Amino acid sequence: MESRTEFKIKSPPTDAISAVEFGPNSTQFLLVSSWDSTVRLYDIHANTMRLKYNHDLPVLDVAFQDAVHAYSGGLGNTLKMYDINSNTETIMGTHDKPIRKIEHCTAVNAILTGGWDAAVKLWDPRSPTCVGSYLQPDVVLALSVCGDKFVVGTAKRKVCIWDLRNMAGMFQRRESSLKYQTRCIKGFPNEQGYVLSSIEGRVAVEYLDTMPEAQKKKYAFKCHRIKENNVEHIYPVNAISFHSAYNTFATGGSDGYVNIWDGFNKKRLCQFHRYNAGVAALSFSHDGSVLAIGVSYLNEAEIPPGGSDEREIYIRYVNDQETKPK
Amino acid sequence: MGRKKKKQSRPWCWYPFCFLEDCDDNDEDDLQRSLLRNHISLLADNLYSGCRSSPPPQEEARRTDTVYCNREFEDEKILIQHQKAKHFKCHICHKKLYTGPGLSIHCMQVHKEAIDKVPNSLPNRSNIEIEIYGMEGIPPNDAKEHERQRNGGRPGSPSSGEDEPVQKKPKPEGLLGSAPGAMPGMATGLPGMPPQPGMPPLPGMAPHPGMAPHPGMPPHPGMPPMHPMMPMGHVGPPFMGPGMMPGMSGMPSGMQPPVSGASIPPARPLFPSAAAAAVSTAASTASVTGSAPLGTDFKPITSVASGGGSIGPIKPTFPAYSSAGDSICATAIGNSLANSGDQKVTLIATTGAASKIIHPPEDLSLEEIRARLPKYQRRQIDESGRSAQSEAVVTVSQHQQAAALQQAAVQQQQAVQQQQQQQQVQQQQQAAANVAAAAFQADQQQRQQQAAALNALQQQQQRFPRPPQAVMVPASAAAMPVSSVALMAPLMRPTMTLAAPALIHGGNMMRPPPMGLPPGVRKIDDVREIVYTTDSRRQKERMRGGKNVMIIQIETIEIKILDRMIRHRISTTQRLVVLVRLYVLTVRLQGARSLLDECRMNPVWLLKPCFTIQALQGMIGALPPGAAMHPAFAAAPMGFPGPMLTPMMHPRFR
Repeated sequence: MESRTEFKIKSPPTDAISAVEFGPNSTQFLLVSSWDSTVRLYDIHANTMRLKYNHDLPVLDVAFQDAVHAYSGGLGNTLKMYDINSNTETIMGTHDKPIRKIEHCTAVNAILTGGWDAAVKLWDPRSPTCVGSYLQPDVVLALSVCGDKFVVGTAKRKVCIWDLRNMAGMFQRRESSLKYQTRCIKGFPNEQGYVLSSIEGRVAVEYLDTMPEAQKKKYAFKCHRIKENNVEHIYPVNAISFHSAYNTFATGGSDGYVNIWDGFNKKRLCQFHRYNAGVAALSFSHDGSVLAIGVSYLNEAEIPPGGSDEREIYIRYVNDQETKPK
Repeated sequence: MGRKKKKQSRPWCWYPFCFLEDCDDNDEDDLQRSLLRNHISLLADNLYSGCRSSPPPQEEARRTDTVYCNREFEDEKILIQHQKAKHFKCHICHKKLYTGPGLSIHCMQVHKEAIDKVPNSLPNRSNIEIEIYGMEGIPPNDAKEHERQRNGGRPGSPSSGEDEPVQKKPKPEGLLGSAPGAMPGMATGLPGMPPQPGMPPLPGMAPHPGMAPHPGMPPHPGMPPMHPMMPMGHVGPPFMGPGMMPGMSGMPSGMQPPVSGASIPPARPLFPSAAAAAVSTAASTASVTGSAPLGTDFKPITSVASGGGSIGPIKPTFPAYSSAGDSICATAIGNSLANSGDQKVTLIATTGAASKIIHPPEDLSLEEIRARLPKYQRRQIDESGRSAQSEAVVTVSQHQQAAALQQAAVQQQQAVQQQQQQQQVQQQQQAAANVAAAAFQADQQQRQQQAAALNALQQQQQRFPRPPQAVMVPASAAAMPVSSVALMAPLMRPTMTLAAPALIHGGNMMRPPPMGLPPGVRKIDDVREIVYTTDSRRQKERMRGGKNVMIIQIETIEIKILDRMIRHRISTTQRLVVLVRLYVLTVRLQGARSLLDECRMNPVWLLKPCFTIQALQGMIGALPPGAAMHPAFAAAPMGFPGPMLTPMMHPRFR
């Protein structure tokens, strides 16, 4: 389904898409990491691939540090920094196990990685060294920076909040308010809280403030479920991305839908059409005008819906109607 | 119903240009159209550039009237019909909606397609969010403008022959001619619709024109694209509409969310690693039992897996690995086999008959499961074969043979697992004891590190006895409470090249001229970089490099403060002073922000006599004045970006 508000990116990766991310201050460049062991940079204005570099093994996440530096890691356990201007790559270091999540924290200008070795590591962008490794209770499945803090979601539904200003110990330790495995976490741009999604078609809105009145506001809701033949199919919510200005967020599920929500008013703002496979990754551009949608089959169902080789990146220009709280 | 309409309130369509689409009956239109098109932009500008009061030249005014007279209709019903047919019709299913917002919501909800402008309308009057229904909701300015032009362009006497056909071109208009009071005979034929243009607003419709300052205001006050031509006075910036997100409007954009506990450091043991050990016994147990006897080839991997296994309902964090660690590579070869044989995996609870979670049964992330696919294993096996001993390769190859005999493999695996579980029980008991030991060890390590750091500082002090800067280092180091080294886990930026701006901005960038250098310093290039470090090892490296380096031990909060100061454009000198003060006053444990605020609000605070004036002056003099004015600083958007933007100039790359 092509229209003027949405188009597919040409020459997509040859395997499932693991992450998409827009550059920090332009809507032009999009980083895409993939299970085909590559990281690609697309120019979405011209709809061309600008460059591509390889890892040894599938890449699970990628992050921009600034407009010209990308960090990527995956099953190869290695964190790579890629300089887009000079086309040079630097190996920053390794985890003991695959790296699942990479985030750039602007507050301290450092790179955070979370891995299946139950560690979160902090990297100094200017020297290829790890400056801190912080043990988590379990395998890291989700990680998001939220201002001065970052939120780690691990297996067994643990949620750990760390304060970058004081990394001597965990800032808060919680259990996920959802009953199923954590799939994705994203911090609100206004740094008040975070949104956590699970594999069981459900999303929780949580607040960092531990005061009872703040905690009273937290809630969870069901989504990404499809009723077929009287059986409700419940899909994992794979991706969350925030609109930086409105604090609304998009969720993408394995059902192939993208929904945009107004978390503060508990409203769904819109739903896009169904994509041919699950939505694996989402990224709003810095100004919230463009949403990149990575569509891939992630082996969530035994039988892939509509062909397992679906792997596309859609670029959708969103408008205020779709993203602004009403 | 047959009430006569007042002349000035003959309904007209606010969406201009509508008739170009359907005025096909008399055809001088082509010429006319091209003419019109040529004028569109100009006219549009005239109409909406805010100089509306000054009427355009006569001829253009007439055209304006033509184009923007905005097709008048017999009565509002016909207007509404027209609008439904021409402007509010869904281009996908051809359903006729009633208003622009209605159309857009329809398209969004039914077709999942965003529609951004009203069909068949000029760009400046195509705002889909303005709610216009017939004559309802037309901005009063536009209504006035229309009226003005209508009267002005048609003063009763035909000013020229040429615009007569133009004016008459719209069909209904043609019927009436210019007789203003003519009774529209057909108007009464349509029931249900009051033909009065001044009809009361329908429920849910926009307020009556002229009543509200923002008539026809759609629910979204922002409307960024249409902004310049919107006839409403003040509209909030699109990103911060009034009343939007009231809960957040009070938020400072910056650093500290109003989290009550944010600035209060959590209660914790004194030493970070011990803290980590204490905080997460599970994890630390895993690390303590790291010497699990299984799978010697895959130590780091098995350690966690087996450690986890000893704790509770294990799931192998990375089954391919862990089974490899069990010296059984069955998973790498046949996934289904491994899954069926793997008893330890926790399963996702099913939700009932009426619903089904679309997820593999194991409680692993999709990525972990996918990563076990053979195609993603290939190089892993290769690497392990290469890097580990040849035994691993043997095991693998043996296993490929064994894969043919799957039964055997399963049995073998189960046997191994049983063994493993027994061992794990024992380990678990040990582990509990080990936790305490670990905490103690960590403590010891911290002490060692800390001693090393102090050592390094002292060594360095001996090695680089220098004018003021060098004097400062030991002073600050000495002022530092010993425990703080251990309290603060080294956070980031083990080295920060800070003071000499040349280094901050990358070596080859333009530098401010050397001015006011202290006597000991020959020229700017000679000012050795000042390195703030949290890591003694790197200090030593630096010193081995033999550079002229001044090293200052620095910690988390100082780093934060530095970042903040840079962001706040505090000059280099001031930054340094603040830093010095920080050391001297040993207020590390306060929140960085409050400290900084205090520094900024009360500069006297910085000037307490702790160092001799000479030493301070030396420090300050060593820094080129005006460093803060350096363009790189001004351009830098966030904390400490200098070298990042020009990485090739960074020492690391040289």
